[in-house]
Amino acid sequence: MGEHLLSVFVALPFVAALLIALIPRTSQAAHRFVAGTTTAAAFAFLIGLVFGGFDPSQGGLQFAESTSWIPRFQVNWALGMDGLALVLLLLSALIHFLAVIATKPRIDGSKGYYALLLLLFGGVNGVFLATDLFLFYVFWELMLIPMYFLIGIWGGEQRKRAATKFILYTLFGSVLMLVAVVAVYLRSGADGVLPTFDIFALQAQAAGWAIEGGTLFGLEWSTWIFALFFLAFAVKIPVVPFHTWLPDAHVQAPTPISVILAGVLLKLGAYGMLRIGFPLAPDAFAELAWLVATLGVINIVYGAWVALAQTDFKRLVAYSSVSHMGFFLLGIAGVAGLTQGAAHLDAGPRFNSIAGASLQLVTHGISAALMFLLVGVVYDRAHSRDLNRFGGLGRIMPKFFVVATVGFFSSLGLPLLAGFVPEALTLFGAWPSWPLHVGLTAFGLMLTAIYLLQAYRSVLLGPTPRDCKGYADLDRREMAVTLPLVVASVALGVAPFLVLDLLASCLQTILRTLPPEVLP
Amino acid sequence: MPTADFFPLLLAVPLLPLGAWLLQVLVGRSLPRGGDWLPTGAMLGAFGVAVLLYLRAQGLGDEAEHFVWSTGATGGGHGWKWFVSSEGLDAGLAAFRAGLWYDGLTAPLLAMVAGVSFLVHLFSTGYMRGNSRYTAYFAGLALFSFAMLAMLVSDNLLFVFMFWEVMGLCSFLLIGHDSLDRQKPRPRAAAAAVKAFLTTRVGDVALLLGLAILWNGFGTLQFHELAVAVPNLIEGQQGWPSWLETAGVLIFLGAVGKSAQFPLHVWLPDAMEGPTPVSAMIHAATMVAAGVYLVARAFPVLAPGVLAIIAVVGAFTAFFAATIALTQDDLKKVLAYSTISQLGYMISAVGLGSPDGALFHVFTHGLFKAGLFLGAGAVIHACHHEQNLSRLGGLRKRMPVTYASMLLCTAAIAGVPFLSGFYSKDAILAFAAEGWEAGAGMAATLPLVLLGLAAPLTALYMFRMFLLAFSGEPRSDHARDAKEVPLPMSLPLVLLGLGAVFGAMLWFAKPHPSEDAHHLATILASVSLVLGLGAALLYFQFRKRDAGRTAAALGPFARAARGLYGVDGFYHAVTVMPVRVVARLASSFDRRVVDGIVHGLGGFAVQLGLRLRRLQSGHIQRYLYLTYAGLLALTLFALWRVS
Amino acid sequence: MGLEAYLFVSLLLFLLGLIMAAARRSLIYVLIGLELILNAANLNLVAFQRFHPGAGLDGQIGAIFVIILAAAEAAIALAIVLNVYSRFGSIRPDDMHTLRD
Repeated sequence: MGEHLLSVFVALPFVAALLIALIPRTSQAAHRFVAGTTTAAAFAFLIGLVFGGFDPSQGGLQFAESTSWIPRFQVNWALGMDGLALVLLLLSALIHFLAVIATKPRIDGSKGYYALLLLLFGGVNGVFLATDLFLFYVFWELMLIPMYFLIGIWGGEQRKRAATKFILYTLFGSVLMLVAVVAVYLRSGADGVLPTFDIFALQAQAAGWAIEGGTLFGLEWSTWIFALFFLAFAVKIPVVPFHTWLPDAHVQAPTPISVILAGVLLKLGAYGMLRIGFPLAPDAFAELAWLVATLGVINIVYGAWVALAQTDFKRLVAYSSVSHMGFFLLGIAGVAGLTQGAAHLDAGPRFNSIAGASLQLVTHGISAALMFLLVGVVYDRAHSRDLNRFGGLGRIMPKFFVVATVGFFSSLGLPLLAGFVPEALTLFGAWPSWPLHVGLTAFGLMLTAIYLLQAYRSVLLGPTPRDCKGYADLDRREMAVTLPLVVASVALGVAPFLVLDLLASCLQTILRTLPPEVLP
Repeated sequence: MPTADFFPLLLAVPLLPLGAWLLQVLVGRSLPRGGDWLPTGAMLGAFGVAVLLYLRAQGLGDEAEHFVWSTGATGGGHGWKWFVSSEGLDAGLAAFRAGLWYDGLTAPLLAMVAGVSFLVHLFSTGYMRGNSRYTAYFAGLALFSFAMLAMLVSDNLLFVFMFWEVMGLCSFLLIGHDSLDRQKPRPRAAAAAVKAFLTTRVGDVALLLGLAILWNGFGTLQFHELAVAVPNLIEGQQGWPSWLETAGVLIFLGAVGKSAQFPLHVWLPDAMEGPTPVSAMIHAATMVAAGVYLVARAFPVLAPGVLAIIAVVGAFTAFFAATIALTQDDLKKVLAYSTISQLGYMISAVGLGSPDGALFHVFTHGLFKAGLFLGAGAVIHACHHEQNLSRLGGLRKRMPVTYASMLLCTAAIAGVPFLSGFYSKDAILAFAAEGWEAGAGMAATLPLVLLGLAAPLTALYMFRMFLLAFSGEPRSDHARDAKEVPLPMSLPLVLLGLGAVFGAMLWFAKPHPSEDAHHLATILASVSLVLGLGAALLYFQFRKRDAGRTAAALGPFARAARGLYGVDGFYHAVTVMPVRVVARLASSFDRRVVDGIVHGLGGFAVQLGLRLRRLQSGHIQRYLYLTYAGLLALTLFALWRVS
Repeated sequence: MGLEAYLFVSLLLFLLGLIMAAARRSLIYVLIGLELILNAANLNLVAFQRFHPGAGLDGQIGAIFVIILAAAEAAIALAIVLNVYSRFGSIRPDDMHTLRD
């Protein structure tokens, strides 16, 4: 058991999904109970690891295990955990657990719903833990399918269209990834050694590839690898202009699924970039970092600007996700290239950048999940998401007012709430490399404040329209879902070291796989 | 030097209101009296502790002026690693440490802020009685006090920034308080709250960038380390590098937003939509003082060129706002513009090279402006929310305590000798005079001229307001029926009135301008006072002019001033509208073009399929033709390639 | 007589079969055409074996397989043709175009 700790952890949701399949269709409470217990147990297990077992001072993999799976192609069932994976797993377990609670106790086809939710959870866990590139790809594909059904069956009026758009878009991305995966595998065997899918072995080799890789259609080999991986993950993050599936999917998805989508699934793309996309093509990354930084700023400013014009509450939050994920790109670009600043501080901005980028994943997971829950609360009462229809909910729903205030201002990046720390880290870290980009980002921060406060005002402040007068305040279930996120947001804002302590050593290890700073 | 002694007490000052806030949010509504005693009591406690600390600092005697105690600089460890707690990791911000700070400037400020906050709490128990969101209101006040106190005891610019942002949230919630009223929500309060937050946010974002530059330049944001690192750098480079000047301007922009300096002053008058005690809080103890505090603390990193800008912007604001204050008929608006004007003095003082003098004025201004706002609150409360000066009047006999307190505070702000405001403003004028004597050109002359012009205006508009409200005959039924406010409201007035008189004595670090400058300033101040007071008495006391007629008397200038010189409208035209328009364009671009391309690709595939399906005719022999035609083509192609 | 002669005959057979399969208006003739194509292949197999010394019996074995395949095909195809006739009332290939999208 001890050696296969992670295998058991990954298998757990799949077994639970099977269990649900065996429970009769009508016992909805049992389905819910199994799904809730499984996700809660996973969360408790991870918390247990944080307090004992996991050593945060170690940057490398822990609990690593590897068993041969397809020997002909050196494919291994290889799992391992480092700080980044642990933190994102914690986020994922929390969000999935809350999504189970956030689901209304009675829904049609609850059996399939909870089983798919657990499959999704298992797939996500697998992606975070896989250290074999092939296995990573398998889990990556595995988690797309349940999402497709969850949106397509339990979604809103245009669910089928949105689900199809989601699956086609993401499959387009993963096909590109498959090409890159195969290419990297074959390349690793080109020097007369046995080819490998081991991500870390590939990372170690990758630095040497660019030099004698040759060209294809005029582009360097490593540029191709970078472009393929980047496109694959960019769809998921999403990077403008590959983002239009996101608002559609969010608007059509039921609230708990939106929460998972924003809270966890978007992070997978970012995780892929940190773990695979950039380290496997370090030279191309160094050369194209300007593009990544530019795309990041476009995400931030463009996302915020489009959000400003939305009248649909959920679309607004979806675009705010696009905007916030731009900070990840900017942060990651800050790692490559230093154009100004004192030499003795070189390592500093790089660390700040990558810490900001990865912390942004966690804090955005929390605040976006909270925002989508708020949208859900309003939608359950009004059956509408039109911002112009509400007003004055803060007067009649005091609990909602408090929760919403935390959600909005956490998203806005107010200090002492989760959103601020990664933004500050990113700006501090990216400044020496990309001062112009950081300046434009500041403009984006302004726009963020504008659209969030506009929405805040039209939902919470002012007089209450007559048809909103009867709205009940948050019930116990809604409180149970939102409070953990409120607490998490405050905790991360007041004490960012809670997460950064787990991340710091691991990030420095990752930094070593990325290109050294490019000094002019 | 007592070191560790300060630590637990210093921590207690902000933590007391924080605890009160937490309890208030969690259980406040189920407590008797909506739990108002909880934050009020906590603030009294915090005030007590702050006084204790103050006395301890005072016990240092002559050293009190210069002593500095901080966890980073003197004992008490080196502060806490905030981003990454493990000691081994020191890359980037992981090395950042935060600690507490207490020095001769903080000591009186901390006590003043805690004291004024306490009095505002106490006053609110009377003023806000019966408000539908009583508990939430006190929660907001408590958090506001916490943020300001925490900012004052922080030893680094990042934490100053953080608590400063939290203050932004608190002011947002409190200004917007009435928009959430259960009985009669005021939409205008919501608009004002949003405007306040967004306008200050402009400065905040700039400030954050400034901090990013500083951090990347020095690897620290702690006051005491910056104070050492900057001179070292300048000595090494023989001058101020341009990036440091940029950082200075950005930091100053932060203060421009928070301290409502021109051109970001537009939010402060609108913020009057909040309940009056909140205005007292924002204008005296917290929020706007934060901006001045920031530039005063960041003084070592400000390059001479930046200081010149600061001095001119501050002085211009002082004059500019004073002219507007002269034309306002709303009691609270007059006070709002007077705050902007006084903040201009403080900001200018920093620019003139005297951060001590700036904070001195923050200190005295905090006392008398709190008195003025709470007095205004008492008037408004007694007159059933009548705050138009042309419908007040004759309150002297009806509200004697308020009258006395307001008189002292008005006298103090106008600069009547031997009252607190006289000393601090006199010092600033003296520094302006010193700068004028030492330097040459516009940058040296402008601050003195503008500040000197603002001084008589201050006396004029303040006494205009005072006389219109308190002397003469009541000009409305509300004013006629006014009665003196109850004890919880009048007690703060009395105490603040006393503070306005004696406040200056409590300040340690008396500014020391040169003799000549001092004389010049004293003469200037006295002449200004006589001019301003004389004009006010002449015009409003003896000739009994009505408020509305001031404007008529001043002609086109007054009309421009009443329209706030068109600044608000200008902003609406050049910022709000373009942002909206671009947003709409971006949104339709996103839908039509970006998503359009995606759908276009999808549609193309579908169309292609529809065309190609025609080949699938079902006639088996046609398939055969096609198959062999294809085979033939491939064969020919292969033969051609081979040959 | 060289390999070319065999190949020429085989090509002739193949083309005849092809034209028959593609152009005749009766399924029976189409089937006969297919048989001709198969036999053209058989002829090739045997001829190549004859002129390629190292091939052993591979060609003949292949030809036998094809003959067996042709027999099986004919049996199944004729059964299908019977079914087609009972369903459509015709064995003209043009009358059967229901197998389209």
